[in-house]
Amino acid sequence: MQRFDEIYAEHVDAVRVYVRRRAPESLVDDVVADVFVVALRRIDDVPRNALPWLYAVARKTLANERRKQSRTIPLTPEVSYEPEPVGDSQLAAAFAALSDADREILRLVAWEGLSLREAARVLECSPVACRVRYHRAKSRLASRLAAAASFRPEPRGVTR
Amino acid sequence: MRNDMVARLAAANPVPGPAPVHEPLRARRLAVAAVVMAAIAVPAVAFGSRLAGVLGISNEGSSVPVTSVLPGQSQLDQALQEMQVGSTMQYLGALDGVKFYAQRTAGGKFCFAIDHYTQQYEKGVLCDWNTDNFPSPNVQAITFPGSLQGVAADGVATVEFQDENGAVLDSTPVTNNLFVSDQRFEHGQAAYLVTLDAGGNVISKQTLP
Repeated sequence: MQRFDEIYAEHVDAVRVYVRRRAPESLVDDVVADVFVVALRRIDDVPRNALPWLYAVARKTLANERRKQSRTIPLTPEVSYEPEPVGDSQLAAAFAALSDADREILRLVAWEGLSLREAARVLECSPVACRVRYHRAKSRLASRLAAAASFRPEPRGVTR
Repeated sequence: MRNDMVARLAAANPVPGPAPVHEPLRARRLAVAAVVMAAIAVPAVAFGSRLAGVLGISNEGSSVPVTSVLPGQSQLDQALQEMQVGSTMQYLGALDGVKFYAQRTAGGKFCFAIDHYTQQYEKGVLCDWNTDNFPSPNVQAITFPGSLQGVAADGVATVEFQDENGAVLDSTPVTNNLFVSDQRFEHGQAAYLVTLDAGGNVISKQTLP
């Protein structure tokens, strides 16, 4: 139980932030609690570097939550809501156009500050596959940003 | 160039960001609002549930099977098992449409469950994982973080949520060690849980997680 206590104390804030970056506030408490219930139940499986493991559990818990809600009722905007990049509308638009998988690996590196090896643990893929996925995601984001930057709407409604 | 893009994405991180629009708790599933804050050691009080008066409050309630506490809530029921609550809980009574149950875990931690029995979703389990476990001089009440719903120590007449500046956000009386408010707060809005005696004197001021 002491190990669980230490893991909880050390990582609960990070897990909460991870969830808040991916889900509406109304789900955060539930998901965070569920993550640590899993950690308590599987305490012997939690690796020494616990955070990527906890993120992986949170990721699955969020997916389950969304699946569950979509089975019972049509997915509401609130449940399907994902926080997006703020203060940079061009980036937000480009980011939103990426696939879920691309967004997630970019978030793990840019927002959670994980190394690619740690991100691979969260995504449960090999480090090599994760690296490839990351570079492709960055390329796609760059392409979308470049496309947005090259688009110049015609000025209109300006007359003298 | 590509690292610049990642830095740009990092700078646009939405959390911490502006507080989201408040969503009433009523609209959501309230699951294991669970477990804890910090802790270091497991108290030596083992099998506490078998000892009389183990809850540490006057309201000792009556023993009920744990399976009857949150019927149909398999996730919460499972959570109670994970917390090693044991096979029974103490039913402490109902207040304003909320049934309260409490028990100590095998490790001596105070856990309680609430059941808004008139509503479908508002149910939850919360355990105090602190070393300084409820009730103690510094921990005079235990509540769900999003609303004043919980259990208070003997002598506590009122509980309050206060913001970081000490302004009272919500206040509710304590009855038979129990308290309930229907006001809801998003995580971080309430910074402190304050307990007061019948004379309005502050007994404790606990920082919320």
